[in-house]
Amino acid sequence: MKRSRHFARRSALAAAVMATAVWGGAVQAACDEGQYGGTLNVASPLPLVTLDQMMITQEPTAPRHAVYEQLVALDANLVPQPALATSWEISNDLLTWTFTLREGVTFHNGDPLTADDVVASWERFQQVGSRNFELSDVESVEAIDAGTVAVHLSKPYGALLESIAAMSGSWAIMPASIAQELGTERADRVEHVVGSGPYMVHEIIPEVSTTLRRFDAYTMHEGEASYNAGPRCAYFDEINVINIVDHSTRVSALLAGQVDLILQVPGDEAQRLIDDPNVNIVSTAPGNRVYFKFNVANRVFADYPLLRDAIRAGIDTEEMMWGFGPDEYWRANNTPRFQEPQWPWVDQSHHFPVDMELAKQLVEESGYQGEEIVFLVVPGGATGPEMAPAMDQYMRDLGLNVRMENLDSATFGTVRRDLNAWDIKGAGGGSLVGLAYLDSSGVDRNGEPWPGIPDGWYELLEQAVNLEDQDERAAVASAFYDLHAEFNNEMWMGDVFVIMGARSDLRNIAENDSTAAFWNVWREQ
Amino acid sequence: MISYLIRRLLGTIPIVLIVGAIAFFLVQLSPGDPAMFYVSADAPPSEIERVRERLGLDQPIATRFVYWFGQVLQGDLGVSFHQNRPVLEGFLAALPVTLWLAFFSLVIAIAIGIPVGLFSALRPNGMVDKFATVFVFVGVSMPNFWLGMLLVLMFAVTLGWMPAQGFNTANPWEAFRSLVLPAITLGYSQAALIARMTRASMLEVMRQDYVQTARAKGLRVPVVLGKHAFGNALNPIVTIIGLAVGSLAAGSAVVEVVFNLPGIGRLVVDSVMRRDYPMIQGILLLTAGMIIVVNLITDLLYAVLDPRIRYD
Repeated sequence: MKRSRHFARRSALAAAVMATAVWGGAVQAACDEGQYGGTLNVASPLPLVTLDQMMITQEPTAPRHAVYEQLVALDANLVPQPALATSWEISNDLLTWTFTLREGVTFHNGDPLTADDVVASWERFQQVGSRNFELSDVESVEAIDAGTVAVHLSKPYGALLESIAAMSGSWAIMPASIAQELGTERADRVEHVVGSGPYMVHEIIPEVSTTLRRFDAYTMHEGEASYNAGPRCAYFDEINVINIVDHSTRVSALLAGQVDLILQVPGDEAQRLIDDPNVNIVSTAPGNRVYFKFNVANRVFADYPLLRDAIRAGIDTEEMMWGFGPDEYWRANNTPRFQEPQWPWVDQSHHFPVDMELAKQLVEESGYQGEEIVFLVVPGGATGPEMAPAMDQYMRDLGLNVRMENLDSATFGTVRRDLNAWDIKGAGGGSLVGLAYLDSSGVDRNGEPWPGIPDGWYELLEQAVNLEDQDERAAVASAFYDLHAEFNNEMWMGDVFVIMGARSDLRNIAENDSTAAFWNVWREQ
Repeated sequence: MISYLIRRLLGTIPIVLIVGAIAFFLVQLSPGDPAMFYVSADAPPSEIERVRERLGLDQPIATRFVYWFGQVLQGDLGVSFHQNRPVLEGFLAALPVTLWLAFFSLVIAIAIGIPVGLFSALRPNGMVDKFATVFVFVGVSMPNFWLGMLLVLMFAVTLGWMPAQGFNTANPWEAFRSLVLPAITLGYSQAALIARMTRASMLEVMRQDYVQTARAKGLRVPVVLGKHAFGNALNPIVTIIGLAVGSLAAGSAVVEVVFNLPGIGRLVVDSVMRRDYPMIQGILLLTAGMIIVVNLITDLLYAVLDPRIRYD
């Protein structure tokens, strides 16, 4: 069984896109002239060395989106809205999409936006874009005239706009001169990081800080500000994004007034924010999904499939989640994907009751002979020190011969691709994921489908994604859950919330891909 | 002395190169693929291979070593994977923070450690000595990160006297303030070691005949201590200070992370976590060189402090 290319693309997209569906709330549309001025100091946990939006470097996306723009941008409902393109048309054969560019847009270096810039950006994106495989059906991009661009496809691709609007590793538009000068080089130097967004780069000190300054010639978009779409009011004169890796130091910097906004606060630090009247928790949203993945291709769990059911039968997901601190900052959720009320496929029937006796019985029935089970964990990873030791103990209680291996993330990233080296591993990802993302649970880290995937797996996924009728989608999704539960290659535990803190005088902070958007935020005078 | 100095400096070169070679293989043979940091989690193998090629990791390790070693001999340490700039540039950007931190830490360590050691040696097992012992044990036992966090909570968050983190390069006064708490954190443990060594060394010297003679002659205690005892007790103290300088100059990862100082220590941690091979190799090479030079200076100081020592 081969993995559907359609889903291969969609899964990547969904991970980036769906993660914002709920939390990217609408913000005020019109800019308030009285709120301009000042400096916003933001503490980011991830080292910032580049703003090159075409490349993925595990860095926060917010600074890039303040600098670059794309042809279209997603709103809070994940609907593509006009950005640098004001409108688009699709040919009858669905193979040509024609975009009309926004007039009057200038880049930070003063160059006007033309179709040639879009084409040159596309050519660079093809060479270096981390997610260019999502747009592999694009045959060419053509400049029809200065204000019109045509995207030619080799076959119809309905998710073109969503792929163009991807949050990172995406087709950002830059001046043709810059795109051609850069080629495959990463845009790291200030003179190379040129977009058309509301902020321009002033200084980059690798791994220390990045300073953005308002771009006064920014061309405002129409509509309502919502997630990545709509008007972007650059209220602050300057934004300093400071890299503070340590969680506790980041919180201390906020409490001491050194920074105004901090991203990613672990739950055990939240109380420090609550206790201080000068700061607020501005967001607590499910951000990180934690689960365990079985190696169903080789070794113990492939040889004794019943062991997978045994482990799931006795596990108490809620008890496991307590490792992440007070229950305001996580929730147990053992359905194979995250559920929110707006998703039509909410289905409570896939929560599994805890039955330790059944678990032990299944271990006996499995035929397991006491072979060593290698359990891979990253101490600072999703399941980390909070949950992994409990999981380790739980499996030992079931009589399994477990060896837990704590690896750093670089080693883990390599070892997990060797399917002869491990049996079960901790895993994590964005909490809010679409149904299409489940496609990735059907493949290993080498992109190969797991052996033994039940018949109908991909067919159901494709149906669920493409059906228009919400009830029908829900029915298909429920059928897929059954299949997923039967295969049982992943055990989902729950969601750990992402917390952001801010000085209490900041206003209008909206979340954008798990970090705060830098536009439309102001400080109360 | 000059010929000794030249011999030692020339001897430094092969040592540094051997350290570099060891560093290269240790780093490159460690598990973990740097390419993973520059692709999306669901990237196909072809994308990972493309990144590996861009980073030069598609070549056999022997080829990579020959190329790297050849570049090093020409003074080129390569380009950092993560920072995408020359390793030397990244190292030199981080070095001043670490050197300033090392300097202030050392000042604190010496200013506290030597007097505490001296006074506790004056009356062994007296009250001062007992307090000094407690001071030393707390200093040696307390983890740096914990002391650092306590200082931040007290002096940055609660009192607001000092910055909680960062290093402000734009303003010298602010830069100095940024280093006060980290220097105390780092200096305290070093002060404890110096105090302990000073005490032991002084007790040893004060049992010597010439000190007893000086006291029998009726010389005042400060003269006996300052002129006869302390000068002769200095060599072990200089040794431990030399070791402290070496380790401080190589950066303190924990303190630099806790106080978010962009120095060598934090750079090492970030580079190791990201498998930034060129940066790790470069830092190991350069810090090895720095430590060798510090050791050389320490050896030369012996001769200055003790006329009996001659290197010619």
